[in-house]
Amino acid sequence: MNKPLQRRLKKFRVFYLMFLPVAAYFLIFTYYPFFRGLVMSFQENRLLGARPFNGLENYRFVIMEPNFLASVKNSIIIGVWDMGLYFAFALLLALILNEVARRTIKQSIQTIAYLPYLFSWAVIGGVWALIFDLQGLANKALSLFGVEPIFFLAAPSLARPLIIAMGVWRSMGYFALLFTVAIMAIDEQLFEAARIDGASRFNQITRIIIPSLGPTMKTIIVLLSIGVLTHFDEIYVMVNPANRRLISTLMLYIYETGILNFKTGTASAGATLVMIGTVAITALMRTLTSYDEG
Amino acid sequence: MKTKRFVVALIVLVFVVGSLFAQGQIDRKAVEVKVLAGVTGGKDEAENKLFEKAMERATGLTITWEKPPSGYDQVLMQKLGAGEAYDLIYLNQFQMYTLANQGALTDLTSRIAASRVYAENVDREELEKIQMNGRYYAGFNKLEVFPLVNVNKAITDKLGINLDTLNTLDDYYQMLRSVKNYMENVVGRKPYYPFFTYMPDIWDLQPWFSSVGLRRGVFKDASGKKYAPFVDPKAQPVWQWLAKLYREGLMDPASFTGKTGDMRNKMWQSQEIVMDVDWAAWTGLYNNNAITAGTYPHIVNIVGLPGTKSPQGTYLLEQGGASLWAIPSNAKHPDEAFKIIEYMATKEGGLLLSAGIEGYDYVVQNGKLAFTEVGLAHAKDHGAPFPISTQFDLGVLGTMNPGVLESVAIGKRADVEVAPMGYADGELDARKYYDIMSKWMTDCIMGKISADVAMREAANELRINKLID
Repeated sequence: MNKPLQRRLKKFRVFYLMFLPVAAYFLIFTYYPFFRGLVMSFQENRLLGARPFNGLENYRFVIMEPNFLASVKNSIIIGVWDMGLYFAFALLLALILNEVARRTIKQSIQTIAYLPYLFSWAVIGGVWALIFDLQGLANKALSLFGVEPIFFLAAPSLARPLIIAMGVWRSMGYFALLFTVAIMAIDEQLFEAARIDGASRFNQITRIIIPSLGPTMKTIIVLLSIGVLTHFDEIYVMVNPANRRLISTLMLYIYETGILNFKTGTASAGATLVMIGTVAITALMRTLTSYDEG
Repeated sequence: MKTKRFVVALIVLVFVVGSLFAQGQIDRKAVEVKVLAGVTGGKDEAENKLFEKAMERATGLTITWEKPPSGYDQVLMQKLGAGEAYDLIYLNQFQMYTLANQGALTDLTSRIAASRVYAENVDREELEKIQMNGRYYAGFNKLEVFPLVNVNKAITDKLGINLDTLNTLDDYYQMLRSVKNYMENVVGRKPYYPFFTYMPDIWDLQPWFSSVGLRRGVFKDASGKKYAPFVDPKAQPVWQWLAKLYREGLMDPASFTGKTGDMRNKMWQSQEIVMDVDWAAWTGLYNNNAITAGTYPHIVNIVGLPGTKSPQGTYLLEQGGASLWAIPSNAKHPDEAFKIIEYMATKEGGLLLSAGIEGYDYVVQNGKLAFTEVGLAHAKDHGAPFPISTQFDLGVLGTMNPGVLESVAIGKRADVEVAPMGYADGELDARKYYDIMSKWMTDCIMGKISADVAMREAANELRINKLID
């Protein structure tokens, strides 16, 4: 070990010691299971006892499986739409909230928008079933205008939009809160100078607020890109035989293969591919947003 | 000198006997049988402890009876996958096939063959149903009943319908039409969908496919070729019949999106449906719930029916996939674990798994069981409402829920054939079969595609996935 490094280690030893529990936590609960899963992806499907290695057989099986390929397609469609809409609606909500002058109204709207994020997916699934059931609130409202009932929960054309809307409804408030915090941090002098120069409110939004949100936008985009291929809970609570082929995602495939069918090798191979896909998408988004350039 | 020798010998003897006794104690203590249980056990943590103690008293073993409060399949997978050693695990028939194929279960064939308890308590026919290529990898948790047609007679009586005469698909269609007409135009409940069938796993369709003599699942013919009767051309009239029910508003659309709980509530609580296909035990539970609600029998009076008659003149019903107990291949105490399997097959074990724990769920008064308030709330079910032991007399449980004995008796009729779904000798990936069948046949029933197209597409996908040949 070279001397400068030794000196640094000695100098900051207290901080390194403080870091140890966190490192241990990640090693035990994140990296070890990940490594186990990676090894299992090259082994035969055996829940107990020795698991003989079978090379790339699990990967070959997964890649050739029609259900897996359909899940890839569904995951990308749902994930990309979710990412785009979470971002757009959250930004829009934050900008609108920023324009509300009365603090109590602003805070009330913020709380209402944030509230769904605190609900479990099971509760949200129940709420959406109540709204979009054949005899639910949405159809009752439509019937007031003489519109025939729509079978929202089973209509193929509405399967993905409904799932995407469900996610947007749940998470919009959370991401809007992140944008709101960033807006509040903008230097007030910038607005004052703009007002003196006669800039309209719209111009202030487009010329000051939105450019100032750049770093927050990049962070949110990268955060959202990590979740593109990992949608599960909302699918699990909403899947039915009528919409299955349109909303069945990779995580559902892995759950059903690994947990329900005990095919741990196959499921681990699927999970490893999801991880590779997630790393690739995240890297792509980092590059596109010039994330590392500050 | 002699005395001295005697004292030394005595001391040595005391040490030897003492150490042997201590060794015995250690061995006895070391044998702690670890059980991972699904539905069987106490209803909550406190009762589960009592259940564990009752099982210990009965078997003379030290037992850890672990019963996860929810998500059993996930817990089972995670625990076994992580290498945790259990001596006994609860699982269903499909899981037994999967794990046995992976070599994860102990072969119990010789133990079961040599077991006097099994010989004296378990029906040979039942035993054959859990064989896998002639071998046994599990013992029974309970006697499986079967789903059958449940009809609310309180409604059909108002229309003068004689339920005993319903034997064909058309008979049932006419009955549903009459009920819909009555409920919508006379009672004024519009829209009224009189029939619910849970579609996600194409469960509960067997009573209708009986009309064409077909069974659910995948079977092997004499040449070993795998085939699925529900995609056989002979099945087409039944799919068309179901599509007609949906088209004409006789089938509840929630059949595709709802849960079993929704179906049950609609049956007894709100009477939004007049007919479903549900377990024989539920005939009684519906009525019992109605008694509690004060609606039995004038508003709710559920009766079980065998469904439709096959071309051979019999009624084909599907026995529920067995709930079983298996010994994992890494079990430390397989002998003791098998003792528990045997106990659960005895009539005493049946009493524990049904009525529950003496002194907690029930007390014995004048030789009869008197259920406590807790016991009544637990509905005489601690994992096995119908114990597997042929020596168990359901009569000891006292008055049964109205209609349940009649429904169970249907399975014993000479013209009724109750058999499990086809698992193709344990080769079937049941989850895939359900998914493929339910999505294509849902499209068919909802009128998006015709029955022949749906059956062809389903057969193709079953073939691509190597579920059939």
